Amino acid sequence: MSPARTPLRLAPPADLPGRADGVGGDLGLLVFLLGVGLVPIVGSFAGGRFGEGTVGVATVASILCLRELAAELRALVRARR
Amino acid sequence: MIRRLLLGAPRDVLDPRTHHAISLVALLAWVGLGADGLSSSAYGPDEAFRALGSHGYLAVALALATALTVLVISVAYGQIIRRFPFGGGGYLVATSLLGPRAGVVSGAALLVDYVLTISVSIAGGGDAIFSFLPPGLAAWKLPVEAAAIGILLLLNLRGVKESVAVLAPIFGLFVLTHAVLVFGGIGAHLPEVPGVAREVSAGFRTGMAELGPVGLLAVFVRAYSMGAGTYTGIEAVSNGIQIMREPKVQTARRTMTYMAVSLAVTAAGILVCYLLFDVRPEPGKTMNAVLLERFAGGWRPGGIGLGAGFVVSALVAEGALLVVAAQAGFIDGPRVMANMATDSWLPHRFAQLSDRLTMQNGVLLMGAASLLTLFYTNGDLTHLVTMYSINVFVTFSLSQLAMVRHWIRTRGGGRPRGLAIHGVALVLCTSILAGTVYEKGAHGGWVTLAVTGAVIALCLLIRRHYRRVQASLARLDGILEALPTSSRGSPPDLDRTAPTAVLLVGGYGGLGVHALLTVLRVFPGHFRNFVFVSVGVVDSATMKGVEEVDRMRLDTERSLRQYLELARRLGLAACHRLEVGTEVVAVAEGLCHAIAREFPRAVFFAGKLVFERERWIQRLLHNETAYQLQRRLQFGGLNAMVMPVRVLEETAGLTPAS
Repeated sequence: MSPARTPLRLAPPADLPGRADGVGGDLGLLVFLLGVGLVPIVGSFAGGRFGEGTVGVATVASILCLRELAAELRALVRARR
Repeated sequence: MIRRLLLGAPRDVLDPRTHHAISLVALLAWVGLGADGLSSSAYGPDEAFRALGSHGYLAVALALATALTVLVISVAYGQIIRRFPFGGGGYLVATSLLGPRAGVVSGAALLVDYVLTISVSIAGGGDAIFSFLPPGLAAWKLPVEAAAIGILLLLNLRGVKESVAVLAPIFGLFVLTHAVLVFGGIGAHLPEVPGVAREVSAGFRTGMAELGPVGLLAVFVRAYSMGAGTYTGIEAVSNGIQIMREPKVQTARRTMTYMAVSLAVTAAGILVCYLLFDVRPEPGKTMNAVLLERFAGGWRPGGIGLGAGFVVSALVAEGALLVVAAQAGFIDGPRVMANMATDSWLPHRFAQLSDRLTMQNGVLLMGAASLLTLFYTNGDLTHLVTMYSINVFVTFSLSQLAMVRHWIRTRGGGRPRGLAIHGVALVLCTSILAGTVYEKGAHGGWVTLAVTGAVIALCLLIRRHYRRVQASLARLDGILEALPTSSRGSPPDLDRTAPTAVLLVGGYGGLGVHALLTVLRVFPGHFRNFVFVSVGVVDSATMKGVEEVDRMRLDTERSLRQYLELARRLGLAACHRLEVGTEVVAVAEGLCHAIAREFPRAVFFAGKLVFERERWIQRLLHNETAYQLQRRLQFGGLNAMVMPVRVLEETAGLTPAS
């Protein structure tokens, strides 16, 4: 007798309607946020008056935005395929 | 026991008197939400007047501009209250009229602003109160401020109304002392008005000669922007309509009127008094402290130092009101979080209510974040104020832009008026936003924008995860089409002594049906009875009134009846049980014990989402209801099983939960 497998098996559908619709808008927002995060980083290199705390927080924010941007781009590429 | 002592007894969500008892009349709402706006008169006019430098004669124009700005923004928010009677403020307005992305920007900006509201208010209050105490006690300032946040947190976990009632006397003392200051100060100088007018006129001519019209305008605009802190808190009423007494819209509009008039009169009056009393900045003292000393310091009727007592009372009231102002952050912050959680921008648990009907998860997070901010800045008010008041203008600007867009698209009556009000408010708010970012950005203010950006990115990540899970669950609905449409004959009667499967289900859908079919397949022919159990969860979205709770109860019952109908078609003996409450695990536990007494051979089944790869975000975004319930039921001697519902990531078309 074979063990009973868990019968509920969920997999994301390949053709989820509307999923790709919002990707472009999210990308735009993330690029804008990345720009906001990069201002103190670039500014500090350019001799601006941004403090260490500001640059640190901006770096964290930029990394987070870049990560999300990469995820959204992957989603966009998959949606186009 | 200790929890009950600190937080109070649970409240009954089904009792209409509960909704009445926890709501606020306009006067109390003015205390709870108006303190944020009114307390900004302790530092807003101060900053603006200092920015004028040697051009103090511009104070009258600045006072007029300040009062006008308060009134314009208030009128604009009054319109928003009318259009969005269930509250939500800047987040809901931007989401509804500009779209979800503008909404998340507005909501995240508001959240960061409310955290700063708490930190700034507490630090400001601490500064004011410790300025009376011996310098040796200064080391205790930060711990005392942290303790004040802890006390407010506790009060808000008990309930909003309780916290407001405790703080009302402080608010009253502030209003009284500052009314005496403004009306007494201006009244005492009425005979000198012509002389002051001549001085202002002469100063203006000199300024024009020295700087030219553009230079003088630049000085004025800079001072106006630096005083932006004065306008923070005006939006609080539109965010907190849900806590108002019925009729909510009228109560909210009355509260807004109280707040706008009191803030406009106090802030503008203080600016005029600076000019009339020729107040100059003094080291270690706020401008208001200097003004109060000049106004009342010399009062000695009958040789009694009444003036010194008044000065101390007014300054203590100012400091204490700043602490009260932190209330706005604790009231509105969790409410914005709840609205965002309902829309899946934040973990859904932030929309849940405690048994005291407070949004305890939001209150706790606001408290923790404000403590973190306080320690990050070491309680330095200058640093905190620099970070403050940028974000609120992001929300103000987006809200006004949304309303302008709404009126451009609307062809109905009131269009010209709506366009005029929100157009003027939009210009004012965007100008102040640009000014504050320019003035404060390079001095530490940019950190606020970076934090807000990080919060928005987190919100996008959270929503992506929820969307993916919802899409996976929706796929199960396909099974509904394969179900039998007609009955196989009349179902047998319930046999309460026979084995009984109790299924905890949500709304009628593929997930619940799968759970039923799984039980039938894994235990073929074992169970004779099937009991469908649902807990109608009253969250912040439902807690708009007793009618809304009734509607939710009817919806839940309708879903359960659909399960009963399905069981009948499958030839199964079935019944259903329903309970309504705020804490799903506690309510479900009580219900299960009652069912176990009725069906002694019951086995309880609950579903749990299981992901292919366990990540921290899944623990954060999905509550452990099934496991918690299983543990409690098993400890209570009942048989409980958790059925895994697997969520896989391998199929293309969706982003993985990276």
